[in-house]
Amino acid sequence: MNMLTHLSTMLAAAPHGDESHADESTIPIPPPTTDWEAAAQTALFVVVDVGMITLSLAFVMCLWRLLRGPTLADRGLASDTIAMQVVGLSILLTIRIRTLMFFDAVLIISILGFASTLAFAQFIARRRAV
Amino acid sequence: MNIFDGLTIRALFDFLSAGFLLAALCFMFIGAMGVVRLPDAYNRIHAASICVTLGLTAMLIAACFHLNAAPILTKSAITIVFIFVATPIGSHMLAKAAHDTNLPQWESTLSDELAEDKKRYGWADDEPAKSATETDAASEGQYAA
Repeated sequence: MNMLTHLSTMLAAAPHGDESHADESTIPIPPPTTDWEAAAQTALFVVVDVGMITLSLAFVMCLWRLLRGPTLADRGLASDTIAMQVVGLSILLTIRIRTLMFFDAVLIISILGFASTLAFAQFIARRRAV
Repeated sequence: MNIFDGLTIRALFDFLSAGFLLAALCFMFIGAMGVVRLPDAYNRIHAASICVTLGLTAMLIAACFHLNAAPILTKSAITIVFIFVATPIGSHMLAKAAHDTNLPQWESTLSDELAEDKKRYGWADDEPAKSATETDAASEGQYAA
């Protein structure tokens, strides 16, 4: 409890609405001025929220394939797909909270997924000769 | 900038972003269903590769439309090019490695042209297998001697 109150005082003391200390990595969002803009923003945020649930469901389905997959190729394919779904989740998070911090992870995770797929393929191919 | 009756460019871009995002979510979820439901490792590789490529591309375009900032645009362009090059290569290598290990196809698959070509042109994977048997024979001879 003591730690919680300490954290809340730290958060209250943080430069919140101060423009001079504004975070460089956050894109400010101006409030919607017309009805169309408000409707479009609401629609987009509803789609993003539904999309996080959908991508999590797809993640769990691919995780099931990763655990169960009868062959080694199934596991490699499922891990590749899971990496791409993590990329999608990070794009959704970028859209939702309007920060640039998670967008660097997109390229890095896709490169890592590609490298892990290649390593998996090499592992499967070499396993036969031995 | 007002097009008509309060429908600004920003509202239009947000609607476009929502549409692209909806298409991307459909692609990704159909890909995951294909990964779970299809009967064969080759079919699953096909489903996952196509749906993931198109889904991530549409999602990055949606991010560009909503947050039109320079870092987002450049990183999305780089990532789209990389994904379009890398995902087919990765899934192709995975499928080729699975085929080289004689992974059986689904029984309703109609053709196996890679196996025919391997048989016809002698690309067969019996080369490492032959060397393995040769080394086995050599080591057996060593032990016998």
